[in-house]
Amino acid sequence: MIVSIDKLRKGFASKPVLNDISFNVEQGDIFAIVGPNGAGKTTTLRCIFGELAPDGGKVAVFGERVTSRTKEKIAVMTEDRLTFRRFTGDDYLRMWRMLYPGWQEKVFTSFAVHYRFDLNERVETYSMGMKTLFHIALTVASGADLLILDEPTQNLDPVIRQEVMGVLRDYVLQQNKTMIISSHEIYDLEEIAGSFAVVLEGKVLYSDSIDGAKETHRIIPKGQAIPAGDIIGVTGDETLVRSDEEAGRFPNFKEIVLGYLQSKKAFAPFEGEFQPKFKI
Amino acid sequence: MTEKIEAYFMKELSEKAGRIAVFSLGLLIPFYPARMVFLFLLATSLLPSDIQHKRLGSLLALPYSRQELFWISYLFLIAFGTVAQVIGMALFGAQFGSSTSIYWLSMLIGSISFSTAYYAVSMISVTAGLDNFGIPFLVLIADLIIGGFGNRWNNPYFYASPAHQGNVWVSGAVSLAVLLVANYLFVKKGVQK
Repeated sequence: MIVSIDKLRKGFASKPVLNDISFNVEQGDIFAIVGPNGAGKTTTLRCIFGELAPDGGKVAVFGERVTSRTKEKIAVMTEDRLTFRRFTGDDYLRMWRMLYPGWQEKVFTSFAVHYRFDLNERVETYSMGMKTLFHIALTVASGADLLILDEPTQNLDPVIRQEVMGVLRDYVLQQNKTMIISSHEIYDLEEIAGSFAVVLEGKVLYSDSIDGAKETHRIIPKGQAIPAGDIIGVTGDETLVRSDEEAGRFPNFKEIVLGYLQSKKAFAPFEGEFQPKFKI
Repeated sequence: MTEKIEAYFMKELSEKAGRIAVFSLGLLIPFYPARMVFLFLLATSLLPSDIQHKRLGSLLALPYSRQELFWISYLFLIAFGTVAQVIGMALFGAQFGSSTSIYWLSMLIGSISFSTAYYAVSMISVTAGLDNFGIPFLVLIADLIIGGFGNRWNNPYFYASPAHQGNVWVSGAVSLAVLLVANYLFVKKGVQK
């Protein structure tokens, strides 16, 4: 187990943000955290890499509490793409070389050549898209065993986005690394992620492997009999049902995510786990 | 560890080059109250300033723990404060006659104690979600006023005051205690923002 999160709670001043987040990430997996804005995705990631101290629950990375030594095996790309003022591309390179023992110069150079980074230019003057690519290059070239990427394809055009997702997938597969990725791009995630968690209002509504989720859910078209199981939610004219019975059709990843997110009327403050709308 | 220190120093010198250059020049002045002002500015403009401007996240995303950031930033303050003052000593020391070295050594210890106290106060302030400069400045004013009350012989605070330093060892101990409290709050409690 690379990351283990158990009943994580976190709030800011008087505002609770995370309320009982639990999931595990296995080695070699690409784990996607999906949910609407303000659901607690970024806060969860910040707790994993140790920026925020949890108010309750446990976060273990590589089987231990996050320390500076474990952090050498974690590379993080934050959502805000904050850059150090007056830092050129070369300055970043020097800094990353010093901080990451597994730094892969060749990998970074490949990114720099392919995306034409001007390493003498200040990174703060790069366009948002270029900044994103630059941070992805740093994160991947760090050689870290765990990559944490918050909205890694934001500000990228569709072609580059697809290319970058492919590079990230290859990195994990070929080098046996692990990745946690938070994104709104559900189609992109379906292509590369192995497991996922749907997060809403600081809680995990559902977590599973993508294949496992597809096997255990059905989409029932309007007018068709609902099989025995849990009715999760409605996506368009169809209903998402968790059931082992052969009925309707298998859902795609987007339908599973939307089904759970649109079931938010099933507000259950007294229960720890997701409560389906109806049980047949 | 040395690489982490080097990387942090590089980051500070690159991001805050102008400020650090001005403060270092100010620390050459052979007049303790003037140097105190520049030490105060330097202490509040390091890690506390990064926290105030919500840039702590980009540091903690790197392989630094809170503990390391706290102490490396403190090391930067003491190293730059001391080096600049030692250069000032070499440039202007001759003007102070035979007592020069003892005078400057006590001034140096006093300035380390002062920087320690106000780095710690600034860290406590930002950790509590307040600002890096205003609150420490008010504390400094209060420190100067309270330590200056009445006759120094019957004002015990005068001895402990990081600004007045009636007794360099007592005020040093107070500064160290405040530094440890700041470290505890920053590491254990996190930033309340």
